[in-house]
Amino acid sequence: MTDREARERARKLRFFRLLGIVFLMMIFLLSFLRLVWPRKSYSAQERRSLAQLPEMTTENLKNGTFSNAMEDYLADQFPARNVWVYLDELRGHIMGEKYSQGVYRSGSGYLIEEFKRKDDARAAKTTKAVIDYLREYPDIRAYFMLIPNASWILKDKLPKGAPIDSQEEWYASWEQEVRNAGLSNLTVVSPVQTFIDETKLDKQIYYRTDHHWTTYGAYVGAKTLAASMDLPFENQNWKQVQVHSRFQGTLMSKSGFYSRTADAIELYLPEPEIACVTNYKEQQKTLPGLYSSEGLAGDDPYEVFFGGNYPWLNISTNAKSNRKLLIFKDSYANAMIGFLCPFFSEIHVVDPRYYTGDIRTLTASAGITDICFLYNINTYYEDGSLSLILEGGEADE
Amino acid sequence: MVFSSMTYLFVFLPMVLLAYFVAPEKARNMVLLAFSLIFYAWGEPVYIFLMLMSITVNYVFGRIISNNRANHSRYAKLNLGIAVGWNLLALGIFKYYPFVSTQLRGVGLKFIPAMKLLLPIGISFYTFQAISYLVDIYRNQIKVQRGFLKFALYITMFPQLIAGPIVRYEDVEKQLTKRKVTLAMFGNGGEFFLRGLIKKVLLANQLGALYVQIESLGAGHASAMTAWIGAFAYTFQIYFDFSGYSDMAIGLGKMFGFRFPKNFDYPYTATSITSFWRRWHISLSSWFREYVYIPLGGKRVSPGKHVRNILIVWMLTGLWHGAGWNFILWGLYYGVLLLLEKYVIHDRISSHPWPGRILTFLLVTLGWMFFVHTDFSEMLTYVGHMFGVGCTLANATTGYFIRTGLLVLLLGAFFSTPVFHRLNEQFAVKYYTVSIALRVLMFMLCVAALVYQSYNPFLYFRF
Amino acid sequence: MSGQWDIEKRRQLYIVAFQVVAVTALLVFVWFIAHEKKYKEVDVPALVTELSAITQDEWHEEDALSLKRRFGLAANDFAAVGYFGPNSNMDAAELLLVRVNDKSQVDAVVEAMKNRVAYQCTCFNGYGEDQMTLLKDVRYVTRGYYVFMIISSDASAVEREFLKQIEP
Repeated sequence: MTDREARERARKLRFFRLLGIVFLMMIFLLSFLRLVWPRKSYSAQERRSLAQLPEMTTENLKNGTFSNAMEDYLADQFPARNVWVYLDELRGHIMGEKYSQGVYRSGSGYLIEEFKRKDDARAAKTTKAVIDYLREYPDIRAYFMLIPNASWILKDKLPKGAPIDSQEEWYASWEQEVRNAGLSNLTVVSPVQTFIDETKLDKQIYYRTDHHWTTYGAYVGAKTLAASMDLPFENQNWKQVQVHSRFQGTLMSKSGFYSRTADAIELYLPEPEIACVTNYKEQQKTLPGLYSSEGLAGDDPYEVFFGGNYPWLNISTNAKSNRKLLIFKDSYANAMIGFLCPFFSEIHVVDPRYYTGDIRTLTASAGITDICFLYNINTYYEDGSLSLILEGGEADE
Repeated sequence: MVFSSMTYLFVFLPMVLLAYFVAPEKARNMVLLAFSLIFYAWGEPVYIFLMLMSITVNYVFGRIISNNRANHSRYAKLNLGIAVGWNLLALGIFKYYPFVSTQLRGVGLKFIPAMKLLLPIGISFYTFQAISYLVDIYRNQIKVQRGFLKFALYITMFPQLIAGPIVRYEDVEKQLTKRKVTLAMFGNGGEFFLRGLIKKVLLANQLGALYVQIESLGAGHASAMTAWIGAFAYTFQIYFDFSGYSDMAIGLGKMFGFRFPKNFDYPYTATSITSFWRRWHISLSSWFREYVYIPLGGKRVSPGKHVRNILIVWMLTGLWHGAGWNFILWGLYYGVLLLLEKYVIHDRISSHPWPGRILTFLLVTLGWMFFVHTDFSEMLTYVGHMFGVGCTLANATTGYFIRTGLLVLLLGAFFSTPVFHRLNEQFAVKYYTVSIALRVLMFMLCVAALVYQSYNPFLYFRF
Repeated sequence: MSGQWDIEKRRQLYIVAFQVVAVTALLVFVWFIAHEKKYKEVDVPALVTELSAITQDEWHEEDALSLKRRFGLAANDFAAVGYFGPNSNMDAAELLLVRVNDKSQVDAVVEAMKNRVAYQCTCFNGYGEDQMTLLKDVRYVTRGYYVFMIISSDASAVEREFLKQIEP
């Protein structure tokens, strides 16, 4: 062995010795930190409770669920967990990853939820259920409004070529289906064109990091709907109030993508003021107004509207109107209902995901004059609950 | 338990390291064995009994064969037959019975009971180790192991227990009795382990995500080029996944003083299918050569028999990877390719390595698409897409996947060649601090990726 | 001379015995893994009522119609069904115990249960953190002819008690 080779070898040995020590340090340091790190019960960022140390039973040891529970626990309680999550997100960002858990990282800080046509039949079933239901009430004026999602209106912001199915195509076939039913009392309301125009004017229809529309988006939507409903919407004045300035929403939680942007949440209050009382029917509580400061302060500030989703709300107003509205809705509608309050004396808000009562009794008893189906396309396409409550039990038998 | 898990890295590994190096030298085999059994029992405890049974049976038969091989070679052979039969019976029941019984019931033989059996992890690996041990004793290539503990450790050693390499007894015989770990050797083991972890967590998982995204594309978005991008992603994924696991095993072995054989040798740089299989999962292909191909007569037989031997070996190789028609197809695909290479192409291809290298890589990529699709109609659709059947050559989505996947694919290609390895070695010796810092950073990125896996606010796909 | 022959003979006998034991042990193990225990036949609705009292979850007994609506399962297809559903749609706790007529029904029942849970998850995800916690801890326990879905604040306790009750 020459001197040079010997030196090389010695250096190599020294390197591996050093690496050995560093390796041991990394493993033991992190293991130690893990042992002493305080346990957390809840992750605000993910809006879920974190796994706790699983209890060991002969049953869960035998069937292997204990080992899974243990792994969940270790990962959920890892020291400085959010920092690690952030680090991995950063790595993904550098690697050019654009997709996570159904969400695309898009231009101008937008996170956009994908639309996937997995099963057209479910939505078709819902549509049929709606039509059959409305057919029973020819004297009630009905409106069907599907709100397009960001993946349609903001499609220019999506990563180029992202394999998202076209909401536009699906919407066209849906609209055809509804028109074919030939219901004279039903109006299809579409805010699509207005949204496209507004977007061109740089108005913000959607939150950047949340799957909902902004209150401005809801305002524009309400204007479109009001026109179909023959409401004197133009005569109404609104006062804008900003209630949250750093809103980062569900899509950020869902994808784990950090958006470096935040949005404001605004409320539009009618001027002159309209008095509203919201009766949370199944919770048996009655609260003044439509807004919840508790919801605003919580992990999902969008819950400022009504404090979240409830099976059945009954809003009474002092509006001079003899019209009573029944809304079937998802959470998009929460931001929009405020715009309708000055024009109806009573509004029933039904969220089919949670509603268990008999919908026909409600329709008949409450003296309803108008019915509105208000959904965003993603939810409408995926959710089966609307057809369930409209069909009732008998239809399945 | 897998190495790339929180439980392993931050509970099991520190505990076994601590126990092992605190224990007196005599007790170290005992410590390793105990931890290996815990490692194995984690998640599927009931199969620990199968493992213990297998150890006992093979230990005793090893001794019977060894005692009789000199004077009663026929008797030894009989016992070898029974012992190998026992191992194959265990493997056959647990790995292949559900598949075979479904097939037979499918053709009307309803009297065959459908048993629900979960596959014991690692059974294909340790069964093959046991068989090689018995045959080697019979052939008088090794001395029988009289220590039950040492033999048990040979079969269950946790680093290579669940995903290989398939270690031949002669490779570790001496180390079972006496082995030394220096700090440098430990550090070298750490280097291998980190390399494996990085391959698995940072490369394989991201490539896998890319493949899954492409595989699940709706019909409207598919195109030939996208399908190839997906196929490449899977090709690199399975390499980094598997070779990463082998690297981790080899590294852990070194940390405890064992030297396991190399299992991968840059297979994607192979210039022919023959050479690919000398570089891919080396311990498996040499096992088949040693214990099936050569006993069948190898190539020292008539061409007709040689063809038969090749096809048998490759069908079995396919089956070893899983109980399913797609694995048989995949194995036979290689059998046919190897025969073509031997009898039709052999020296006709140019002496320049690149045409062969590219062709081999493309054929291997295509082969993985047989391997990965257990459902034949899905396989046909996907492979059809690769050849432009039922879709366009390229579309906007192709551009999307090129933009988002190019970097990880290029990294995959780069790390599949020995270039990085050479550079890395020179660099590490020259610049200690930077190299160590880089390794710490990479380890942190791995941990981050593992933590991120638990970042799952909407977990319902888990049910 | 004959003594040595005897020893040899005895050794061979031991070996034969070992061969037999080895193969038998393997087959017994396979039988042990694959065989189904015979579980006690119990009064399913009564058992579910009893189990529902273990925890303070907000639930009540449901009829066949709800079973049909939520799971797409017809109670008549099975030997016995006991179902406790959530008190309101804002609750998630549920117990469904089905005793099937035929083991070939098991997979379909488990499938229906999983669909139900997946559906409930779409309702609550992002809104109902407590409900999601329960749903994530769902247990599907299949034993013999029994299929049992547990969504509860103390699923382990319910599972334990259930297994105790059907133990032969």
